Amino acid sequence: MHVFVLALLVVAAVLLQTTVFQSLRVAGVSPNLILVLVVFFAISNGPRHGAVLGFVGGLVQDLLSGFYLGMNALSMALTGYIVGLGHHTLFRESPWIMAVITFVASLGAETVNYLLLLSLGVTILPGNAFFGVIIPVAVYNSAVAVLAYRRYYSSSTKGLLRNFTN
Amino acid sequence: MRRTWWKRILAAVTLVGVLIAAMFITVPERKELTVLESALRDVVAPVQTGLTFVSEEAFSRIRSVFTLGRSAETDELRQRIRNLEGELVSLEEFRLENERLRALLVYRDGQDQSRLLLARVVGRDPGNWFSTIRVNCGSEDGVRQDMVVVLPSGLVGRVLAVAEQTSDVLLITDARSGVGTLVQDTRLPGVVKGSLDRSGRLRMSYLTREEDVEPNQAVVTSGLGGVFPKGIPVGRVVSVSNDPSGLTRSAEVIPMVDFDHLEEVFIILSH
Repeated sequence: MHVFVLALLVVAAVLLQTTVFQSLRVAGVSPNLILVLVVFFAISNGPRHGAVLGFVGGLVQDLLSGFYLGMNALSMALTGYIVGLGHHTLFRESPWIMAVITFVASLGAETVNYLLLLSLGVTILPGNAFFGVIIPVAVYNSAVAVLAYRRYYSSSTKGLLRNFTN
Repeated sequence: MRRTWWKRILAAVTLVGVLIAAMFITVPERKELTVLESALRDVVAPVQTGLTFVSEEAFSRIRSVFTLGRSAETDELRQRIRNLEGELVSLEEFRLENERLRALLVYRDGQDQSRLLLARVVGRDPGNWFSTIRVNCGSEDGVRQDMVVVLPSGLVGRVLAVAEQTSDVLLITDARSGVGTLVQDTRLPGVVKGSLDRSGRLRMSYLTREEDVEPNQAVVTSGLGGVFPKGIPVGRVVSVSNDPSGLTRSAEVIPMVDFDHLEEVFIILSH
């Protein structure tokens, strides 16, 4: 049941990211909703689950993109794992703290993507990468996190996503 | 316990290795996609088509509720202005071309030979690093890599990868794109590149300092490089600035095509 709900959430994130949020670009970027979901899930369920969802969610995004297959899977799995390490130590109830975690996680994930692209021969100047994509995406993702986290938190403590790890 | 850890580390390293290999295998600009990639694109395409359709319908309905139908009319008029501007630039290009060719007593009109294939946009790259679209025509329809994609208002991009039923198009706004161009009035050459600054504007680089470039001048393809035919409208100059080297200048160019609302495009099958 939990896996089914999670799969639905991934599908919903992909749906929104590739359609509605393409029309709601701010500073030229759309949020990475799958990454936001990975951060929420990792902080609630730990590094292993975070890494698995990051891998699956990133792979879905890579398949839709069609190029550089594995880039998002790798960066999101890594992000999910690292964020998940804070599962027991970070205060999880405040959406503002989640916004900060999401901001830092997004900076990390997009920086990994940037480094992977550089290693694949895609030349993008660091200034353009950071001010054109990495920072705007991190800001947008953290704004989405503030708006969406309460709903996710109540679902993970009292609703359908409760006790996922059990 | 230690053995379990080693197994995990080995599994993680293997997975990372496989992913990195997959990344290098699936870089764009290859002659052909693998069978698996081609099949994946064609399988994903109907889903993307459905998503795009649902999104467009939903947005259209939401907009009409809030604006009582005014927005649709405004959008249509804006699109007509863009198309007419593109036609004006094309006409000016034909006029200048005719003058040059008359002077040489040679007449040649390459663009009439073109065969255009109408393709519907079924998806966009979900990430923020690239500007690519997926269209519903592929190798079965005669599409080949590097074919040029246009609209009546101007240049859209070129075909990057072809599956049987779909193709991926690299838009000229993508940071990886480079188009040989000319300032229409002065015939000053330069290269128009996409950027990541997300203003939707393009950068025309390598302009020599010998001739002035003024705002509002039209920029068209130069035909150099062999991919893009000559004379396709690309955009209009917004501003010009000196490069740090002091040897060349760059111009900011606003594209003729509205890349935020691409729905159908033409693929030039031959030119």
